[in-house]
Amino acid sequence: MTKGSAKRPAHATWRRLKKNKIAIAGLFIVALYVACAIFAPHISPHDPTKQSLTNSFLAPSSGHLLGCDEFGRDILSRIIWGARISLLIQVSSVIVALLVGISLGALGGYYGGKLDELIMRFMDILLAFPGMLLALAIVAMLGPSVRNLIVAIGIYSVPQFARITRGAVLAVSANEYVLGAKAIGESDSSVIVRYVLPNALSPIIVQTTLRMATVLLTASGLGFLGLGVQPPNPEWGTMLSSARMYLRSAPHVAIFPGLAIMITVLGFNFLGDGLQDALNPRLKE
Amino acid sequence: MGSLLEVRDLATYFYTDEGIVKALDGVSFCIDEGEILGLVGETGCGKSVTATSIMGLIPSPPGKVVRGSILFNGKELLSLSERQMRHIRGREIAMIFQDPASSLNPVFRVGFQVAEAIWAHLKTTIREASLKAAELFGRVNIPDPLAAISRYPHQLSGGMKQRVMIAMALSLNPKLLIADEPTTALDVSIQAQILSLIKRLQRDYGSSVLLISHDLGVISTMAHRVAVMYSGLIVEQGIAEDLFQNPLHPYTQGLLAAIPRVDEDKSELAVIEGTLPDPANPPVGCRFHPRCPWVVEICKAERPLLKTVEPKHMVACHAYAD
Amino acid sequence: MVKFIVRRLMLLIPVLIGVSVIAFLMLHLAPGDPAELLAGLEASAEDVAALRTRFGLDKPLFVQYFMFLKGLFDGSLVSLKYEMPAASVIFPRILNTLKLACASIVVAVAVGMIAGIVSAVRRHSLVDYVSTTLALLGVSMPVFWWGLILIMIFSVYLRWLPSGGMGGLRYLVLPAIVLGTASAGVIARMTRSNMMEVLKQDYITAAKAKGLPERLVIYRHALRNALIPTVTVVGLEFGYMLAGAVLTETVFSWPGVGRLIVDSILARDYPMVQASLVLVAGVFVLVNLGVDVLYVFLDPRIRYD
Repeated sequence: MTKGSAKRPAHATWRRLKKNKIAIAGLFIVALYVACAIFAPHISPHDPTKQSLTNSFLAPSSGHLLGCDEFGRDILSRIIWGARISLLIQVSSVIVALLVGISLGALGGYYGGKLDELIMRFMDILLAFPGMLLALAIVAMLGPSVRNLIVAIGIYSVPQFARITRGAVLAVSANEYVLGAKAIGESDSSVIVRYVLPNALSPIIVQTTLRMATVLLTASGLGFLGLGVQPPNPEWGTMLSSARMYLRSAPHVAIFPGLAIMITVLGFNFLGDGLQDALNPRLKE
Repeated sequence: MGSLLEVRDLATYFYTDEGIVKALDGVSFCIDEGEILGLVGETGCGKSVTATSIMGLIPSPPGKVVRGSILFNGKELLSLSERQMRHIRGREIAMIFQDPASSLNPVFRVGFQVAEAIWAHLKTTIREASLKAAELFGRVNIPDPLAAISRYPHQLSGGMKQRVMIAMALSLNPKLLIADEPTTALDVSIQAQILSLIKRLQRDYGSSVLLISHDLGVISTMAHRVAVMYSGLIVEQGIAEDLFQNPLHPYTQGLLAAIPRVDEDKSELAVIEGTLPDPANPPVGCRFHPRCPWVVEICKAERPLLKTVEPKHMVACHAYAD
Repeated sequence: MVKFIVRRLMLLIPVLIGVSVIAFLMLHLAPGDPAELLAGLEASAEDVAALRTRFGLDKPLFVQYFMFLKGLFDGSLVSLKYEMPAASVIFPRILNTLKLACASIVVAVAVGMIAGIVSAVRRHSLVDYVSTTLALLGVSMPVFWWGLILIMIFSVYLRWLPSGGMGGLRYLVLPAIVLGTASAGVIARMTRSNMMEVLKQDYITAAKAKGLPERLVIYRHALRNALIPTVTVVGLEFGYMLAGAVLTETVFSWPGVGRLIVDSILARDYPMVQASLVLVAGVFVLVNLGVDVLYVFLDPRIRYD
């Protein structure tokens, strides 16, 4: 398990991934999304919060490629800046979930016994809230704001990561080199970090990518309900909640933000599926 | 000649990403009525592919029967439609698979699975078919047949499951039974029981059996005639006693010499040098030549054909060319 | 079998208790004083104090928790907005959501399973690629956007179907399609991969070797095996629909429990939110139990042991 031997599997994985055209398409979409988020101030054609009564409900045209919303704000700019907000929420909440989830999962799987039972019970309680409801409840408690959104979505994503980590830990702990390391007297934390976690790496990578998709859907869902990012911030879901009233007169206000969500989610799903296949080359038919 | 099954120059290829795998490249043998032909060879030489080719069950991408003829009772099987082939499967040619645990559907009761074959071909009711199934269970020595038909596969032992498969195969009185490694997955103690069961039933029903195995011991106790297979080809064929007393092909000789014997005083096991050739990239000429102790120039260039060297004893080797 | 169910129920109890604790704590973990939160922004100091005694907010947490549980079941937990026992408002809404969930799961199963089976049987064909892509699209589409698009097409432009509310069958069509889409995608993918796994098995070849027609082999032998894990997914999806159809209900103004929760949050009707969470989570957990039981029932390997 030295760094040297880890390099060759990474190459093989990258080769397999490259062959999968759908996964590459996903990678491209994700890269585009991240680029929009990072370079928003430079590539956005207009100020996303600048209102203009004359441009209200403007259809897609040369100056405003995707048209304007009810306040005359340029939709394309709002979508580009929206990528920034969404990416921030995604990355932050996934980091929260990873830190908490991996720790809990590793501790539970490694030490077993009562600690494991307790942790798993707690995960079951979190999972007893179906779908978005847990995130909804936490936002209801704390109030809608970007910070609370990150906490809510982070917590709601913890159980998946905990489960996966625990599974990988259990699988590896039985391996002889782990027992051997323990016999020599290596400290528990060292064993976990050096031997156990690297094996959990590939399912965690896959789950992280797929989770980004779920988080985006949840965050925009909460935005749509009015419980996520608050207006006038250009979050894609929030943009859709006000567009609801103008379906007949100005459909473009509703179509584009939703399309942005769908394409980005698709990108993450493509990439996640592709990573899944590349990291675990089962004999496909 | 009047044999029940006549296979001539059968070739089955698999078209994969890594290349064309020539699993069978010109297999020829025949089976007469009422006889047991043992098809012996190492794992991977194409024995099972031969069985599935005869049954018409080669998965069509990526596999394909590219040439040859399979005459069964005078009918050319390779030219039959899927519909016609279906009438033959189970009814005139039946098959027993290697691992009874995975060959029985885990969610249906065993009695039903046996009855299903009868019901599908004979248009009886399920009830009648189930009763016939119970009767068959008795014939294959499954204790308490009426209770057994309502069991699920996982509730039976390996030996019992194989008996169920045998019952299923013989239910419609097929003329040819293909037994693909019928005892390999079973405990040694059960193997003998199953083999003697097959032998007895073969006599009672008068069917022919294509017995496929890598185990020379199994072949020698059961078969009337033997065909030795190597890398997708038949290299020797003859009556069992003749072949075992007087093996002609160097591969057969190597196989027999490799069997450890209690009455010999050898300190080492004799092995055949080398390994099985890669079926995607077989050697030119005689496929055995890289491992053959008698190899000469012609072996590397030309593939030897099966020739009758002694009465009813054929071999494919240049050493017997004269 | 009964022992199995009882054992699982016992395991559920701590989970349900945990859920109720979390719901209960909502009021106390929120920033601010609970009594002030309940009283609302316009309340005077006297109102707040009155509320505090009325809801027992001055008592220790433990006691409050039991009061909460008791109030939930005997009707004394009252909604601030409706001024009725919370439970009596929630139950009819749960039934409405149930109606929607049933319709949606029918759509999801019909579309998803057929697509999955056809995909698996005709691998690499055009049908396979199209349905795999559509399934992925279905899973990636934001539910609320899909709803808006369908409303735009079918209510606004074509005027075939109503855009919201509950009534006859016509009101159910669009919401059921929208809610069923994501699940159809999940079910299609699951069915496809399960069928593919099963079709590789030896017993399928053995069934063909018996001379059975291909259709029988697929629809009886293969499907019955592939159905086992697929049914669990269907059950899980049904559970999600029952309890989480929040977005669909909002878009279509469907009077279900999901919309009730959102409206209550926006109206700061904390007791209602708490009660709904407990009841909805309870239903979800029970549905999951039902799915586990169903799985055991369907797989003879587990049933007869």
